[in-house]
This record gives sequence, structure tokens and C-alpha cells, in this order.
Amino acid sequence: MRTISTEKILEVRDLTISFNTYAGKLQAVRGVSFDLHKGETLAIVGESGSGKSVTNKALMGILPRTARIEKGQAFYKGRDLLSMTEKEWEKVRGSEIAMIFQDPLSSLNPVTRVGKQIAEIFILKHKLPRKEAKRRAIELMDAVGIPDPEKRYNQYPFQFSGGMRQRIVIAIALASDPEILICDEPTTALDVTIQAQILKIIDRLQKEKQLSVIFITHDLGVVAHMADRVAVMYAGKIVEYGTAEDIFYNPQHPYTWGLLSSMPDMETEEGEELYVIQGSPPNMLYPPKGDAFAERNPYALNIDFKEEPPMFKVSDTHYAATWLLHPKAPKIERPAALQRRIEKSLKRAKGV
Amino acid sequence: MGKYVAQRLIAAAFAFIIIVALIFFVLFSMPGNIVSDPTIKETVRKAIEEKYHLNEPLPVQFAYFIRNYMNLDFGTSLFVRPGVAVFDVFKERIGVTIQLNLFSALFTLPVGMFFGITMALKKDSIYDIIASSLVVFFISVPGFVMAAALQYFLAYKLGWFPIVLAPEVKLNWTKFHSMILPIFALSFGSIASIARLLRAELAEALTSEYMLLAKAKGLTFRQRVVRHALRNACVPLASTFLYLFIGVLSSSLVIENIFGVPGLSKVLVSSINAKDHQLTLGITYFYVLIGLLMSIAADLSYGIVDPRIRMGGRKDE
Amino acid sequence: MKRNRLNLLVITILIMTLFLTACGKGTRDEGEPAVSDEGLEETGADVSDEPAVLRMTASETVSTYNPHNAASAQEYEQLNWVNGLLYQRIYDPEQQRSDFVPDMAEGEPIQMDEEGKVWQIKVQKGLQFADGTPIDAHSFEYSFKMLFDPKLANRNYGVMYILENADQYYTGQCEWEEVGIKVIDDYTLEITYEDVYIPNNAREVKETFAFVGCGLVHKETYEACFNEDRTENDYGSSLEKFVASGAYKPVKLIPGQYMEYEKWEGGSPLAKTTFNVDTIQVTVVTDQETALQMYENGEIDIVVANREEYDEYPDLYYSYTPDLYGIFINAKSETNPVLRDKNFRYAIFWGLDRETIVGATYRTNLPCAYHYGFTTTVPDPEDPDNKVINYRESEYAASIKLDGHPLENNCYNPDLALEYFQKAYENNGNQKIEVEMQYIEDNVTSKAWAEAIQEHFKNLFGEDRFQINLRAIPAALVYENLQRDNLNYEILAAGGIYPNIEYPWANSNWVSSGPDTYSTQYTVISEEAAQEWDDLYYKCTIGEYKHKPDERNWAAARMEEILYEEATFLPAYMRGNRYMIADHIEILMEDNVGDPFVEFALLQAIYHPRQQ
Repeated sequence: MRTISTEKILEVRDLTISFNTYAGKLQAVRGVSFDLHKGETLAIVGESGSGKSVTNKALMGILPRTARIEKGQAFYKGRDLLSMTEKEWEKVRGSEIAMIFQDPLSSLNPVTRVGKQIAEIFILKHKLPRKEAKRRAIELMDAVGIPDPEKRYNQYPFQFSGGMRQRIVIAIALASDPEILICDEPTTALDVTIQAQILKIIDRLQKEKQLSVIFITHDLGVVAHMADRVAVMYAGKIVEYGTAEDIFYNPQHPYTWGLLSSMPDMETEEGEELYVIQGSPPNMLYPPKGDAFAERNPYALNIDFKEEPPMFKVSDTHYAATWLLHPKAPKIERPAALQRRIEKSLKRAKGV
Repeated sequence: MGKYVAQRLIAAAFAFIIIVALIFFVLFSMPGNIVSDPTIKETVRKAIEEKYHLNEPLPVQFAYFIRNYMNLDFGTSLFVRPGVAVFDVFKERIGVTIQLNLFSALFTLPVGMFFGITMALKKDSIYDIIASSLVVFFISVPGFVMAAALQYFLAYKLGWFPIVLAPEVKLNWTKFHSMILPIFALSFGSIASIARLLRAELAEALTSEYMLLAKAKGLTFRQRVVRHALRNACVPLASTFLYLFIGVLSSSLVIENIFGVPGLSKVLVSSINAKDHQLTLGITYFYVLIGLLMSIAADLSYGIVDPRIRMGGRKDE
Repeated sequence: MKRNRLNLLVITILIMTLFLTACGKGTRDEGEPAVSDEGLEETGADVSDEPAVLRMTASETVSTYNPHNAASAQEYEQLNWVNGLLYQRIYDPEQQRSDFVPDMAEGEPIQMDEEGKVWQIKVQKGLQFADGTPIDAHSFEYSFKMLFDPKLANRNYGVMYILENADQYYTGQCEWEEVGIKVIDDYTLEITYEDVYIPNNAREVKETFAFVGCGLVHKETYEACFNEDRTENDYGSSLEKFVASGAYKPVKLIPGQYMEYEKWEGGSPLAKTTFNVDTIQVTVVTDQETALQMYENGEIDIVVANREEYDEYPDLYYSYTPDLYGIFINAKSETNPVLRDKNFRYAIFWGLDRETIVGATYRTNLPCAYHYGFTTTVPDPEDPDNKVINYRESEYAASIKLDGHPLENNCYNPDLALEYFQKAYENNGNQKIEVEMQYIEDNVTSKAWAEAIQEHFKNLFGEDRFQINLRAIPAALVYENLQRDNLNYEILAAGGIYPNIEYPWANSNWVSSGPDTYSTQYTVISEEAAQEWDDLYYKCTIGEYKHKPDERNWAAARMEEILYEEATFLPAYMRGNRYMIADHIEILMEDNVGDPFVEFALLQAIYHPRQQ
């Protein structure tokens, strides 16, 4: 367990983003708030369409033209990122906040040599001479674990395997020594063994360079490895927020229960049905009244359909937005299978 | 890469030989020959037919023909330019055609690219809408209509340009001034095609993931567009441009007629009508050769511009 | 981006101007010619001092200046400007027709023997080529020797077979010494004709040597232009490979585009005596529209103006070519027996309203029902060497009758036509008569012509009794289908015949037997008629009528009569064009109709100062 510094490097408050589509206004992010501390890894977890990517794109200023930031601030080093001009953003992107994407094949320019794609950052942004830029680029390639970097410098992206490509992307992201690294589902397109490698690299680099990482994913397994803190998003809102232990060993929101239950693991007994959260996320053109998860929530209360739940405090580090935490709410137990699993994990963590 | 080029050249050589034979047989199978004009006296007809083996069976004529070509004797014109070697007729007429097409190419590429790029960058704006309509207009309206319109309005009515090509031998300003209208007429269609292509390609490139990454890297808009989007958008450009060039080279007959340009197309048509076969063959083979070379160049250009094709997508681990 | 902005600006302005001018009316849009035309022509004294320049157009630059193989009839005119000839056809304002005059020859040809087989022609002294080389009888002999050369197989040798042993030499069977062209002394040539082709008079001799192929070539240059085995010669293919001897010399030649000629003296004497133009500028223009624009702009002096919009212009000129166009009927048809019936053919002949139908389809062509057109002349029996009479207006033509009916009113007689049609209809068992008529596909006027005929006869004979079915054929097949040994049509409403308008009996188009048949002949008449026709033909050309002008004229009329009787070709029109000529040029013709051979003789016209 790393020590997480208490210094907050990024504070997001009440971020609300909508899209102008032909069908109408799509509310993608509805009042999201979270903090990122220096040196920590924050995982943002959720289904497709939960708004996790959009949130983070806003933090880089790379939202598409159809997006509108209706409300909210993102404070970084005393500045509200969301009110910056494009010119100011150009200084921030890459140098202060960097991002790596999901599919390395399409994020790299297919007809430009890989080395050049890294070196151009040094040439254009840091105004280094070509030779120096090349040297730095090769250094970087080495740092992310690419073998034989001098030879590889002149190759094209299609000549690399998926894992290697992602390393290039990471190298590009870290070229300017940013403070924050946002990883948007970086391992989803890779196979499991490569996944582990990439995660290791990110981990190592984070330690070496004192990075603060936001890790977006839908895969809780990955979260378990990497995250210091976790935010669970559903339908544009954060529904549960806490440290990794809080979320894994003491989940409070029914959606989190659902997510945890639907993870297959070694403990799943033969013949046992895999848990599935019924239904699909709501249409965000017409967000439902009340709790967006209510329709799919087997533990929904009447009030869930009428009014949105506020964030209830579970502990200093742990918050969840569910009416079940209201003092007047009935006591609901976690699903049995999940409880079993949690206990087993706890035993393992403490014991063997 | 060298191997690829060699392969293509050999394939082209085969194609060329087959085309040569095919055209020969088709042309000579047409009824009538150079002396089928009924007003020619019998003695003269017989003498000419004998001299040029016009009454021998086709394979025999073909043998004579091949033998001559092997000796680099491309034949003599009998009607269009009697007594003159085909090669010389060629030399006479090719100059203006090449000049016109070269200028047209030099004009087309930058202008086409300019419009394509600006249209993509300002996609869906008023400028884009107007420019797109103009593109459709210029692609649809045939070149000769354009030529006739240009001539009527700019040369005849306004008098800004001469009505026909100036009768100067050297390329001086007068000559060039009179070439401007035919160059425009030849170019407009190609400019429109290139603009349309580039607009589509660039618009697509601008919305791609690597552009997003480049933005995330912190590059400015101009840096992103020039270093990444344009490079990718221009991949099909070279090949398209070369095909357009071939098209213009071979189809400029009507435009040449309208402006009184003494080009190769007109000679070809006269020669076919007059059944001056030697000349027809010579000119046709020239066009075929250019066409083959251009298509090889177009294919190769893909290799030059797009490394994935050049290296065959080989992966090293 | 700055350069791009500039480009954008320029192009925008260009496009804007294009559209703006399209909206406004041009200044030259009204129906007036560009130049005022008051009272210019009457003042003969107002002839210009400044050099006279004639600017015209051509469809292509001259293929070569070599008179021996220049292939296209359109360029013969220009060849005669630059190559000296012994005699030339020019326009005679007194006779108001073209005639042959001495060019480099001195005086008329002299008949040396009683028959007229041997003639002498004197060459003028003191003439030279454009580079100073002197011209004498040897120069001409050399030119003829090269024209006849067996290895070169020159195209324009064509008409010279009438000279003794010419064919033999041309086909390599004898030596030059045996050919009927000899040099008697430095300035005298002696010509011997083949027995069968003995000319009737000096005029015919002049005609032989006025042919374009008899033009002079410059020996030194010509020799240098041979290829290795002397089978090809590219003399005249460029200005460097050519030396002029005619009244004009080419001074500028841009292949495919432009030619310029300048008059010079020292060569052909006609430069001083006959031709008034100092410079001729010929621009190659094939597009009608372009030519008209240039004329309106004052850039050229003569242009074809056949289109409807020029109908009301003042001062239009017409010129008719000798060729004759009409309808071919296959009288030997296997597929449709109606065509074999003369009554049917006569019905079509008398029923064709040429004036109306030709007028509707071709505004500048001349309706003509006669096998020998309106411009045909024959030698006047009173003075056959010097005078001619209009054949159509003569007693000979008036004597022609078809089935007893005289040829009046351009042969349009609907009642007579109906009579014949009735007979044909009965012969067809009172069944509806259907025939197929071919016309040229992709040709708007050909289609209009065919449809007009179809419509006309539908109305005349009645739909229930008669129907013409149209069929389009490619232009290249027209003459193929007409070939005598391969008749492949029922009725063909395209194509024509080129008769001889100075010696109508010498109409070798219709000959079926004997030495004057071509290998491909189009025009067919029945065997019995052909026998009589050929008999008359050879009597006139080489037989007993040869020196008897009156008998010949009667024979010609009888031959024409046979053609009407056979009715396998029904003449419909003579082809003509309508021209506009610049106002400052006064032509020698009294009416505004050009000569069939020299058109408007623009080189001889009077040039007033150009009004600008």
C-alpha cells in the first residue's frame, strides 16, 4: 500500500456536461465531484455510457464540439481548467495532464514513424534540436520497456504488437513529464497477459515519476490491483466513492454490489449462475426522475423513483448515494454470494 | 521496393505487347484501307496497295509491322502528313499537348488541394456549402461546355483573352496568355475531383483517434493538421491525380478543337478516319504507353506515401 | 495560408465575373454585322494602297506542300498558290466563269499533228524559284518524272494515265524515255497522249496541266528529301524542306494551327497580273462557333454562315459544289419486288417535293432534280474551243422526256406520281407497299431529311397504301451498302454522286464496262440500259463523237434520259454553303454566287481599305 499524500492535485466540483444531438440534449455527466491526491491512483469504474470517458476528456479539454460544459470547475494548481482558452490548454495538455487511449492501433498515426511521433513533442513543445529529441525519445522507449529502441525508433506502428504499441502511447504521454496521467481503458483492447505487463509499467512509472493517475475502466479486477481510491459512476453520476478497501470490502450501493457480484472469479462454484444486472442504462436524453438506477435496482425503495438520493457519508473516506443509507431506510443485507466472497477475500488478505 | 517495381514493369511490358497486337488486328480489320476512296484510279490504288502490303493477309502484315518496329521504323504517314515519318508527325504535335497538360497539372494540384483543405477545415460552413456546390457543378459539366462558355464570355464578349491559340512558335507571353483559357477548361474538372477527394479524406482524418492523441499531446491545431491529418489525407491523392492526368491527356480533343490547339488528339481522329493506319498505331501506342506508365506510377505512389503498403504489413516482434 | 488566401481571391473574382457577364447582355449580341456597309462597294477608285491581307480559316494545316502526294482536296487550293503550274484555272470576270489561263506556260498549247495526239507547250523565260534557281522545261520534266516514279507510288499521279506510256512507267514496266513527256529545247516541252485519250482541243490540254499534281518541285531540295531506298520522300513537309515557285510562298507554318503566305514576284507571273492579295493568313479552326466569333470580331474575312440566325443578314454569298445528292433505290432488290417495278420508282421520282423538303432540312442546299445540275456547261457547238453554254437551258436538255413527260418544275408532279403509284400498287396485288429506307445514324440532318421524306410520302400516297420504315446505319457503311456487287439496301437516303459539270457525258460514275470502270462503283442500271449507256459514253470520250460537239451534246442528253428511265438514283439537291464576306472585299462575281471551281476567287477580288 502506498502512502497517499494528502495534498490534492485536482479537485473536480459539480461537473455537468451535455451534448447537443439531433434528437435533443443528452445529459452525459450530471454533477460529478471528486478529488485526486498527489501520487495516488484513482479508478473510475462504470458501464459504457456512464459518463466516465466524457468526464475525463473534459479534464483534458478534448471534448467534441457538440459537448457543452454546463456547470462545474476543475481546480488544478489553483486554476480552473474548465475556464481556460484553447491556447492555455495547449500549454497544459501533455505537459501537465496527459492521456492514454484505449486502442493503440488507431491512436497512433499509421503512416508516421513511431520515433518521430515521440520526438515531435520534444521538437515542437520543448524546442529541442533533432538529435537531442531523438536521444530523449529513445530513452523514453527504453523506460517503457521497448527492446532494442534504436532499431525500433524508425519503425511504423503496424510493425509492433498491441502491447508494444500501448507502450509507445505511454511513452508519448510521459514525454513532457506531466503531473497527472489519465488512462482511458488502456488495457481493454489487449489480451490478459499483456494487460498485466502494461499495468506493471504504469505502476512502475507512477512510482518513478510521482504521477497521479486517473484510471478509467469497467473491469474491477484491474481496479483491485491498481487503485488507491475508487469512484463508481452510473448514468453520469458518482454513486459510490471511497478507498479500494471501502469499495471492495464494504460496498454500500446496490449498483456496486451488482458490479462486484458479476465478476467471475475462482470462487464461483460450479453450477452457480453468474450474477447479471438486469436491464440496461437509461436513455440520458430523458433522465429519469429520481434515482437513475432505480429501474434495475432489485433493492429499490419507493422514494428511489421519486427523488435522487444525496451522497450519504459512510466514513471519512467513504460515500455512497443510495436511499438505503438513510436512517429511516429498511436494513438491507448484501447479497449472500457477494458477502461470502468478501469474507473470503478478507481472510486471504489478513491471513495467507 | 525495387523488386516490386521490376515486377510491375515486366507485367506492364506483357500487357503492352498484347495491347499492341490487339489494336493492330482490330484496326486493320476495319473495312477499307487508305485507298478505298472511289475517286482513286485503279493503277494508283494497285501501286499503293502493293507498296504497303495492304492486300496481304493480316498475320503477314503484322509480321512486316513487327519487323519494322524492331528496327525502330514506325512507319510513314500516308494521308494526314504524306511522306512524313510517324515519329516526326509526333514530334510536331506533341509539344503543345504536353505543354497544355503540364500547365494544367501544375494549376490543378495546388488549387485543388487548396480548396480541398479549406473545405475540410471549414466543414459545414457557408464557404463549404458554396464550394461543395461548385465542385459538383464542375464535375458534372463536361469539359467542352466549360471550354465553349469560357471562350464565349471571356474571349469573345469581354475580349480578355484571344479566341484561339496564338500562332507563335515559341512559348512567349502572347502564347501563354492564349493558353490560359484552354488550361482552365482542362483543369476545372480535375480541380473539382481533387478538392472533393481531399475534403472527404481530410475531414475523416480530422476526426480520427490519432488526431485526438495529437491534441492530447499538446500540439497546436496547425501542427496537428499539417503533421498528422494532411499526411494521411494525401495518401490517395497522388494516385488519383495521376489517373486524372491520363484522363485529361487523352480526352482533350474537343477542347483542342474549340481553341484551335494543334494537338495530338486531332491528328489521331483524322488519322483514324482517313485509315492512315501507321500513324494511328503510332499515336495510339504512345497513349497506351503513357497510360501504363502512369498507372504503375500511381500504384507505386501508394507505396511511397503509405508505408503499410510498401512494407507489406510485416511485423517484427 | 497567405498564398492560399490570395489564390482564393483571384479565383473568386474570376468566377464572379463569369457569372456576372452571363447575366448582362454583350455588346455584340444584336443582329448587326460589326462593320457599317454603306457605299463601300461602288467606289472602284477607292482601292487600297496598303498591302491587301486576306484572313481565312481552314480545317487543318496543309498536310504537305508536295504536289505529288498531298492527299486532301481541301488543300489543293493552297498547293496551287505555292507551286508553279503550266496552266491554272482562274476566274474570268468577262465570261463570269472560271477558265484556264497560262501560268508559267507561254501562250496556248500548240497542236503539232492533225489528230491532236502531240502538243507543244512553251515555258516562259526568266522565271525562278523562291531561292533564285531558274525555271525551264527541264524543271518541269523533273517534276513529272518524280510524279510518275514507280517506287514512290504517288497518289496524285491519278489523272496522268492519259499520257503515252505513263501507266507503264508508273508500274515499272518501261523507261522514262518512252513516256510522252519530252524536252525539245530549254523552254519547250512536247506532250504525247495515248491514242484513246487524245484531247479535243487546247483547252483540254490546259486542263490536264492545271491539275495540282503537275506543280513544280525544286529538284535540289526534293533529292535531299528522299529516304535511303528512295521509296519515300518528305519534300514539302516543313518550310525547310520546300522551295516555292508559285505566286505565294509560305512564310510561317505552325503545324495544326496556322499558315501564312506572302506574294512574291519572280515565280508565277500570275502574281503580278491576276492576284491582288499580298498576304494570306490561314488559321486552323474546326469549330463553327469559334469561326463565327472570330468573324464578328474582325479577325477573319470569310466564314460559313449556314445557321438560321443568319437568314436575315444582308450580303450573304452562296456557293454550290458540283456534287449531287439524292435517293438511291435498289432496282435489283431480292427482298422487295416492288422496287423492281419502274412504276414505283417513277412514283417516288415525280412525287418528291424537293423544294419544300430540301428547304425544310437544309437551308443552304439547292433543290435539284436533274442528273446534270444547274451549273453544268457544255462546249458551244459554234465555238467549242472558247465558248460554253449552260446545258440545263439548252435545247439538248429540253429534249429529255421521261416516259413521254418533260422534266419541268424541278420534276415535282404529284398527280403524275399518284398515277404511277396506282400502277405499282396494282402490280403489288393491291397490297400495302412497305419499303425500308436507310439514313445516317447520329446525324441530325440526315434523320430530319429521312423523316421529312417519310412524312411527305405518307401524306401523298396514303398511310394505308404506303409506308416507309426508317433504319439508321453508321456513316461508314453508306458507300459499302451502295457497292455495285454488294447492294445492301432497299432505299438509301444518303450519299451522292460527283458528276463532271464541264463535260457531262464523261460521267464515269455510271460506266459498267470497259477501261473506265472503277473497282468500286455505286450506281447501277439495268444491263440493257447499261449497254446503251456505255456505248454512248465511249463514243463521246474516245470514239466517233469525240470531235463532234453537237453529237456529243445530244448523246449526253440521251445518257441523262437513260438515267431518268432507270430511276435508280433520284437526284434531290446540290450541296451549297452560305458565307459572310468582309465588307471591304469586292468579289468579281456579278451576283452573289460563287464559281463551282474557284468559289469566290478571293485572291483576285478588289480590296478596299479595311474599315476598322
